[in-house]
Amino acid sequence: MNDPLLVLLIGGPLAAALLLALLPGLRPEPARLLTLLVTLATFAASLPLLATDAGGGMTHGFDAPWIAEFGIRFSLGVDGIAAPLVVLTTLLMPLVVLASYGHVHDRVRQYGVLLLAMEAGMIGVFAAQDLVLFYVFFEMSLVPLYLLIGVYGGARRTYAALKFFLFTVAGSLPLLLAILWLVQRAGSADLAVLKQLPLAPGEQGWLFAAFAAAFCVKVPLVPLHTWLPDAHVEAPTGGSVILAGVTLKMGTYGLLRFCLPLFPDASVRHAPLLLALAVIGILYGALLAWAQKDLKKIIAYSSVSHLGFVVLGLFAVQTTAASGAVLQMVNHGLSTGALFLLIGMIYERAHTRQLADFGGLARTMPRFAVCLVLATLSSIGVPGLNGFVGEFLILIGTWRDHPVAAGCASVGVLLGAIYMLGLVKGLLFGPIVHPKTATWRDLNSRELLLLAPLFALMFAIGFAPKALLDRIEPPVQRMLEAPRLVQERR
Amino acid sequence: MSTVGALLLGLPLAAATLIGILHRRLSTRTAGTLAFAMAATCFGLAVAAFTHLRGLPEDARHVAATFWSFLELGRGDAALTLDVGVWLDPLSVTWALFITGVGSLIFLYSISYMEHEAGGARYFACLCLFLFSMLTLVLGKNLFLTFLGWEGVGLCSYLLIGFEYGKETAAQAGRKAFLVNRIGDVGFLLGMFWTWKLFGTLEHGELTPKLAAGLAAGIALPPLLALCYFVGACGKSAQLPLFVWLPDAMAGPTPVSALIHAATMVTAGIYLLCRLSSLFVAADWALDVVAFTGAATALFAGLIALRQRDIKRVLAYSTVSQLGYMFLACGLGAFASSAFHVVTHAFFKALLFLGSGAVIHALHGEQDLWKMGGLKHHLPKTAFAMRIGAFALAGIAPFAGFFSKDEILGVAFARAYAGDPACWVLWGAGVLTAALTAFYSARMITLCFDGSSRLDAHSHPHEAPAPMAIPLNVLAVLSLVGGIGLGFEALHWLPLHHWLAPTLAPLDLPPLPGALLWGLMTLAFLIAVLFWRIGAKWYSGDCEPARAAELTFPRFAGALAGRFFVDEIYGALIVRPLRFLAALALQFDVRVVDGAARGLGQFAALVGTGVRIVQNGTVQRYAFWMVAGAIALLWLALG
Repeated sequence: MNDPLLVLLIGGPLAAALLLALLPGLRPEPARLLTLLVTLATFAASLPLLATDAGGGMTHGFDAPWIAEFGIRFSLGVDGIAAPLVVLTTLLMPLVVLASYGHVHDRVRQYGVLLLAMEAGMIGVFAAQDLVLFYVFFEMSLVPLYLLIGVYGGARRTYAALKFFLFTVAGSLPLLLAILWLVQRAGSADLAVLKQLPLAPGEQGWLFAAFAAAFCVKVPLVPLHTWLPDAHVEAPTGGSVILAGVTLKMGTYGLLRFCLPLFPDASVRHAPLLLALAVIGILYGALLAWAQKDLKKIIAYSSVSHLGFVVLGLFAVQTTAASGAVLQMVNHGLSTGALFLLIGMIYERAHTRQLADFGGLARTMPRFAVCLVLATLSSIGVPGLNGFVGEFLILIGTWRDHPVAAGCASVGVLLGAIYMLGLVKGLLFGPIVHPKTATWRDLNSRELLLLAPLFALMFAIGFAPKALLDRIEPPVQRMLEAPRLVQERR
Repeated sequence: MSTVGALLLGLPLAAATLIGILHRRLSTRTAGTLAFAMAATCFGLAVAAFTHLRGLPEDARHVAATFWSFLELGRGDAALTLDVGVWLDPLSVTWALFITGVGSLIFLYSISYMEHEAGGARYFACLCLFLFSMLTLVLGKNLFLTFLGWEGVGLCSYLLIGFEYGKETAAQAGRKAFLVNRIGDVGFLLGMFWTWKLFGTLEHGELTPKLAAGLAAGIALPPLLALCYFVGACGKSAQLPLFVWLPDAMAGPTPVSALIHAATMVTAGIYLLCRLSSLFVAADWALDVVAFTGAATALFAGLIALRQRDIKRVLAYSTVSQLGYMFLACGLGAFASSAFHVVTHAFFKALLFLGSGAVIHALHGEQDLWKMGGLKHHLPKTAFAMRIGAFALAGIAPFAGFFSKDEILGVAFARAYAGDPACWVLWGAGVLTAALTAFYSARMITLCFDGSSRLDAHSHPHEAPAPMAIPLNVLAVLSLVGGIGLGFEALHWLPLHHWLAPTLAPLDLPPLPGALLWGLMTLAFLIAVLFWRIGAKWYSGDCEPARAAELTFPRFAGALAGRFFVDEIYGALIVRPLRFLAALALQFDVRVVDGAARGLGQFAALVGTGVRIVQNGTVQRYAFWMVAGAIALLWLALG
């Protein structure tokens, strides 16, 4: 039976985007309000998705023929992996709109169009049960982001946007070819069908490479990461939040949803390489973050490090680690989302992002200070907050079969504290540096309101992650069934 | 009992949250009174838990309570189940007793001490959070919760050291403490990962029997597993080579130094060693590493303490040195003796820190011993209390430290006597440290309270108000009777040892003959008294003997005053190379990794010059071309 909820969640924002696009006369504030209301409604409507199937199956399925001659269908559904990511997306969207009150003053209507189109695309990515449909959403979510950076970005926005675009396209073209080949081979693009498709090891090898390349660019896995810092630095706050919060997860989500179950032999064969790159990413990203002077670059490189943990957890091919990895996708969205929002707020006041320009903000902006410290503690994995649970599960699960990788990755826990506490100290503590510090007002109630849900979730996941993990684990087990079998055969 | 456990954790957390949220509206006094009331209630609860356990038969003295299930993942031997709850047994309750007991006294003291500081309510919020974390550390029913508290106390320490965040030194010291502790935390984490793989559980209640069974069956554990936890313990308990954060931590308010950096948090490492005593005993040479690290730390820090000018730094190095004794005891297998010293140390070191706080308070922030002198005339009560604390620290009978320290030295001697020659080295180091301890304790007391005044002419020090004096008096009494009350080996009076016995790995060592015990005790007493006399003599009057000694050995004296230049060495060997590596990585990233990508990009740009035509900046155009491109590609590929 078809459940229209997912269609509504994708169609709603898309329709609103079209509507906004077709109303050139609409003034900025009504346009922004409309965007806010639509994103809020989408969030509310997405909450029932969290009632997932305890066995790890798909719920809220919707299936209709689309391009029948190739077996391509308009097929949607969510499980315990997709549902939290969809809800994370719908949660971040209204926050991004709320944040835009502070820094987007031109082309407000178009900003709304882009955000809504992006939201539709991202929900589609996580909900698609058909490979071709997935690809369409995958591209659909990227174009608005590209425009968001290119139009609303900072001084070097064109360069950053083009770089983002080229990296992504370079990754997704092989993906498209691989998808088309697969669809022709199987006569269907349905994931459930494709899972049963017997593939020779040679075929798996290049298909895996094509899929993994596209997703690893997105993650980004070292050495494919250099687009990320430029994109983050130039992107407007909202762009950074969505980029870090959701877009990067499309990469790790793809690895889990497609690479591991569809190409289990190749996944297991190449797991050591991915584990090594993940560990390098964790340590190298952390070192790079430490060497940065620009607030946004610090967080950008910290994402390279944190997403390294996620890839590590996935390719350890172990249920606990992979469940932790999915949880960490959500966690990273919350903590990094909060950090980018906070940096955006300080940038709106100071018009600088150089760490050296700041100091002593704890005295003049105590609310900001508390929020920044909390987001930092979440990011560096202090127990009691969400980040720790994810890291812990990834590492403890990885340790079982790959103690060396887990051991090296654990050093990243230490390095993370070094650069993040450096950032906290530089911004909040010590003597006041910037002569205008006293004129920057503390966070107002709009800003606190938009941060509040993120902090509430950080604490909730930190103290009682069971509810979420119980949803995540069954589908993760399904994804890992095939690669586990391969491992046991070996 | 589960209610008691829940309240022991819930009350401090509730108080921390409440004060934290309202901290800008609460006065220091209100917040402090609330926090003190909470801490005192927690002490009552700990006493209740103690009496409950006492009523149970000896081999059944443990209560587990689960509050909620934290997570359940995996199946079979890869199942990971973690609950949130408490594990009350003699070990955890002993720690809870002195944490809440000494804690309450320090909370009370803080009310007056912090009265005129800005941000007093914020201070108490952090203090409550600390109490919550510390109790989670000791009462948590599995290693995961212990780790939660472990990191939590580190965080509170970070926040409280950096309490005066406007001061660069304070902010820096806080960060240093957190980072050095995190090195240890990584060890703890790896230990947990490995433990789960080997035993499939992290629950204290399940782990201890499994370990004991393995021990009885003669199964040896990998020593590296024990060393993972040991690294964690070294970080938290400031042992070589990770002790460097503790002296800097003195940048925090003095009651914080007393509570966190002397009496409670820094003993978490010893708690962990005791909690995992069966694991350490089963792990071959791991205990030797613990013993030698402890002895080396005791001696090393004892030497540095000889020449510190700052009264709090003397006490800080003294703490490091005493923690070394506790590690030595653990390493010798005498976990109960270690716990004994933890408890007496909590009494007398808290007393010394609070006393020094009263001095600093009276002198409006002066911490330099060379700017004190003759204070016994102005602060007679404080001087009296501090003297008791110093006697206890120096190991002079019948004060508390004498009994616990003497027991540790006795075990080292007994091991050597039983035929382990390496233990002569350990015993020697312990005796030497005891001499140093007596010497620097006397030096501190003499410079501070005796002789003629070196104060500013305008300074008129006054005794501290009652809320500060009461804790001092209580702790002075405990420093007097806390040793003999809890254990006197030569008289076979060992109530603390018997109480802890069911939770610790037993000490496999034949007891020394009674005459030898008495002889050793007399020796220790004489050494302490002798070196106290020497210390007092060297530093009284114009300190002529001390100056002469410094002139005779200028290099050694310089190295002591410079704290053996450990910070400088770490800076040169670790911090700077790491920074250089980060800078190098950045250059590599920009030039090589991104350079390669840009090279490819330029190539692509050459091919796609045509793309520029459509780059005219309007959103609609971009969107059009992107969608058109995607459709065209799709079409081409499908066709």
